[in-house]
Formats: sequence, C-alpha cells, structure tokens
Amino acid sequence: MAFALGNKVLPGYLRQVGDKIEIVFDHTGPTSYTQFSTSTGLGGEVIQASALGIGGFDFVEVTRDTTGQVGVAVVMVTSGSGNAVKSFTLVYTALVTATVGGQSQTINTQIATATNLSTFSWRIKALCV
Amino acid sequence: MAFPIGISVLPGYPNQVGAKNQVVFDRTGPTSYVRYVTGATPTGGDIIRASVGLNLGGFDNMDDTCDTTGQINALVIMDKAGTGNAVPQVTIKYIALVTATLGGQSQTVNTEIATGTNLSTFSFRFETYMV
Repeated sequence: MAFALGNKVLPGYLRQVGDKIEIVFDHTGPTSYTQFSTSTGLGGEVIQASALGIGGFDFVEVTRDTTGQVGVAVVMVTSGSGNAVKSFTLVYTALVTATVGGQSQTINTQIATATNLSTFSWRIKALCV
Repeated sequence: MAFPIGISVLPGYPNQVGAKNQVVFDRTGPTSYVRYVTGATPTGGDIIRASVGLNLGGFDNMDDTCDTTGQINALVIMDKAGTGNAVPQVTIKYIALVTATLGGQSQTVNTEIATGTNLSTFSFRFETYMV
C-alpha cells in the first residue's frame, strides 16, 4: 500500500492535554535505512521536533508497522536528566525472516542498512512541549 | 554518560489531566540488578514506588522505553494490578537488546539482564498516569 510520505498528523492534533501537547501521527520510513549504532548513538532514523512544529518531546510511543513485519524502538539519545529532547531516534527491527524493502532481514534483528522503508507506515504518539 | 541517580521528573509534571496526574520521568537502574522471578509473590526486578521520588499514591498505567543507548529495554510489570485498581508500585524487568558486556556482566540479546549488573549508568524514560 502507498502511504503519504513523511509525517501525517491525525485530525484533531495537536491537542492540549493539561499543560502539555499531545500529537498522534503516521510516519513512513526512509528510502534507505542506516543501522543505529549503540556505541555512537548515530544512525537509525532521527525525528526532529521542529519537523512537527513543536519545541521538544517528553515521551514517545510507537506501534508496529501496518503489516506487522517491522517493529520499531524509540531511543531518546539525549534524555536522562529530566529534560525534554529536540529529537528522538527510531530503530527498526525485523519481525520476520524475509526480504523486506529490498533487503534480506532476520527476525528480531535490526533492519538491514539500505532497506527501503518508505512503503511502511508506523503510528506514533508523542507528548510534547 | 553520567545521569542523575534515581528519579528525575521532567518540568511541568505532574500534569493534571482530568482527575489524574500524568508524570514523565527519567530513572536510572539499580547498582546491582536482581532478576525477576514470577510467581504468586514475584521477587526481584527493579521496583518503583509511587511514594518514592514521585510523591503520589499509585499508578494507573505506565509506558516504558529503552535506555538512551538503545542497548536495554525496560518492561513494566504491574504485578499488583488485575482488579481495576491503582497499584502502589510497579516492577521493571530489563531485557538486553545486544549480546555484549553491559554494566560489568555478560548479556545475551533478547534475554533478561544478568543478576549483578550495574544499571546505574543507564537511564530509562517512563510515562505514567497516577492517583
């Protein structure tokens, strides 16, 4: 299925929740994924708060993709001291052993570099400032 | 990276949402983790109490993340829930996302963090609704 590329905010969001801002949006992946390195904190797919017109992220939740083949973890690389963050990183994981996005994937391992994830969509809920 | 030990509540929380308190906080793990054991009276894991650091009465719900390095996942176990009740504490079970030495102990991907692991240099973010 073809999805709108990038971020597609659901109707009714941004929504004020107490003193914070809640946003729910669908997100398509990159055309060529770069694996996340736990030693450097680089790679993965970085989502910037500014791309959504907000100042920062307090918390982010995400689902599997619409086909159930690709899971994703949210890594808030620059958090840890009670701070909102300007960006977070999505680290994609294969939930099947198969060719996905033009690359061979192994279940429960990170999606291979150069995988095309632009035809996959994830729903993300974020609590923002 | 060195993190503040214990619980660091983000600015603006508790956030009043209707009759509930929404709280987002960072928390470092224990200096020596003990593996979680299931059962009628579970033991081990890392217990977070509503009254300690958060100063509230109980948890209705809690969502978790992996740590800031992407190496360890935190799973929330509400082992005192099940009757539509807020709970005074939750237990965190930590899962390795890599096969490597972390916190001074050998870890295997997709298995629980080893007993004796020092998780005090790892930080996890949680979102919770509290009473």
